[in-house]
Amino acid sequence: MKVFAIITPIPVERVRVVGGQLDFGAAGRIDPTSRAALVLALGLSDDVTALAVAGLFSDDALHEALAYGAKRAIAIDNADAGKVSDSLFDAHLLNKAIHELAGDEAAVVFCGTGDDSLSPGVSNPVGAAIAGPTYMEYIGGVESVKTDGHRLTINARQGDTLLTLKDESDENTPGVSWVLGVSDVAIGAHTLPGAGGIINAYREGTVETMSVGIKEIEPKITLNQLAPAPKREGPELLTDPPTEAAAALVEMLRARAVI
Amino acid sequence: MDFTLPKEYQMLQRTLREFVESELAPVARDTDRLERQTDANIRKLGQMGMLGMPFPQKYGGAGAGELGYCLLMEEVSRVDSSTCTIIGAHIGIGAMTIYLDGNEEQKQKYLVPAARGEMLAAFALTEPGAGSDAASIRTTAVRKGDEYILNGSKIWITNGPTAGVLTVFAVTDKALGARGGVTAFLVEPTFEGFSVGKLYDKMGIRGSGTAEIIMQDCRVPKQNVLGKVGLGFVTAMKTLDGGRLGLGAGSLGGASAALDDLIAYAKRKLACGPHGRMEALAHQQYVQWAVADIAADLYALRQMVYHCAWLCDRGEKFSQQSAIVKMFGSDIAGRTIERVQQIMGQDGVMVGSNIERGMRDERISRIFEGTNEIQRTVIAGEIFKQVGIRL
Repeated sequence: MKVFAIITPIPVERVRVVGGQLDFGAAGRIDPTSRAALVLALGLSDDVTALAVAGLFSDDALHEALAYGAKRAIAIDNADAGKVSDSLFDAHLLNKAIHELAGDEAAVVFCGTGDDSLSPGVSNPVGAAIAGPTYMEYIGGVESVKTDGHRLTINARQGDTLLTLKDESDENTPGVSWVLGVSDVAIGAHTLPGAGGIINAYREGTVETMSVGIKEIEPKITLNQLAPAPKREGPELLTDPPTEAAAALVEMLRARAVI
Repeated sequence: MDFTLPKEYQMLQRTLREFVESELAPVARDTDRLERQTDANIRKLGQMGMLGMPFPQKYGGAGAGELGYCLLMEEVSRVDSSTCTIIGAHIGIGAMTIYLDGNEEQKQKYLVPAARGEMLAAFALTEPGAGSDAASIRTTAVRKGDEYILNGSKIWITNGPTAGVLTVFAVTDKALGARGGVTAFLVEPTFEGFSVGKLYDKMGIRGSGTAEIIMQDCRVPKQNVLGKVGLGFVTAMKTLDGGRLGLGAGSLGGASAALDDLIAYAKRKLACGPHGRMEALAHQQYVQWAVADIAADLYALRQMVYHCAWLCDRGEKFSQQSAIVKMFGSDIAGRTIERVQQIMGQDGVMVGSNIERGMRDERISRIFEGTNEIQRTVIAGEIFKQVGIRL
């Protein structure tokens, strides 16, 4: 089982508009839900690989992941340079990187879901998009994860309900690969990196770079041709006085077996 | 020249800020009121490697050097000077003596657990008759077989009631005095003849324990001599160089917090403007000038603290600079807090307000680890030494 944590970098300072341009400041850090995801990942395994799409502040955020205790930190780069990146494209990059890094092993991918206020714990587009292109299962609202060394037990909150999912695969069958969405920032709130970890993350830790080539995303779902719209008759204007018009309407509806 | 804090120190600073705001700030008032820091917070500081911040990792430290230590003092002092004092006595002058002059065996036995936060350290120099005149200490140490027998008492010892190891300075050759006649000893509170005397009731930094310690025929193994016999005063003075820098960093934190409080207050508090209209206090010119003056002071102090830490981490001599940082920093903290309190008026003297506690906590920083008058003597001495005049 290979354990990954997806790291989303955010600016340390509040983003400002300076001279019509967005100023993100000079330093970045891990967003709070990614931190919660990383904390859960480190609780599950002491061999966690932190992944971020290479870009603004990814280096800072990945060093922070090393300070927290991640064994490896890798910035994922698109080998097909020039491709405009968006969230869906980044998710595909991460998916591909995870499969290359995990090889034949099952992957457990912890992923922060960003601000949970819009869709509390039910689903998140980033985690689902990472899982989406292949066979990985996605569940959001994850609060805790345990393992007996092979199988996972996942507690996830879906609305007001706390679900417990158990991977029932035996040791002879490959485990299921999961993408686990984490939205509760309280999970990582009181967990901070140690001073020595921070120093080592920069002086000894290395953020690796991995190039993954994706030329384009091929949608797996294609729209079927729409059935032709039912033929409709044009509207009929009843111009009789109200009593007669009402009687005519009743007759019309009776004739069409509506009443 | 690059004045940017290296990335690891930026992250360290952010992490410290988050820690002190989430863990120390909520209990800072109780720490003061109940006159003790919680064991849980000291334990957390230890687990995060904060209590060994400057020391190499091979001795259980974080390897962050003096700059890391200054950032720690600055950030902790923003919310809780009592805890800052505990840390300063533990790292800056307690464990630091062992790091500077301890042999390998002593480092493994005392520095490693101290740096990991498994025990606190303390520094015991001051005596009833030897405060600013530290060379006049009277505690004696007499060699007897494989032991030294210590007799005397030390006062105002921060961490005295809680330390697991204390660096105690005693006279081993009265004729030589400070110039070759003072020796440093590592004393455990379990040693026969050691006791903690009076606990002091202080106006500020009340959450840090300060006590008298008494050595009455206290038996200290000869292997607990720290450094060379007779060179204890040298150990004390070079340790205090770093200690003073740490205090200056603490003053920077305390004064910065006071400025933040003032800005928030000036934004929130309404006062009558020139046309009888109520407006934020920030519109008053005397408040603007106070904010500007304090900001200028802090700008200068911050450069001094970080520069001095940089000198120390480069292994350069920094006695004069650290004395300046301590003197300048604590003077600035004093006048900043007083000015902020004056603007806040009645709000600034209410028990429980940060500025009221800050006022009580700050006062000692112009006194301990060498009064600011002694710092001036040190600074002048260093300056005149360069032109051949020994004061």
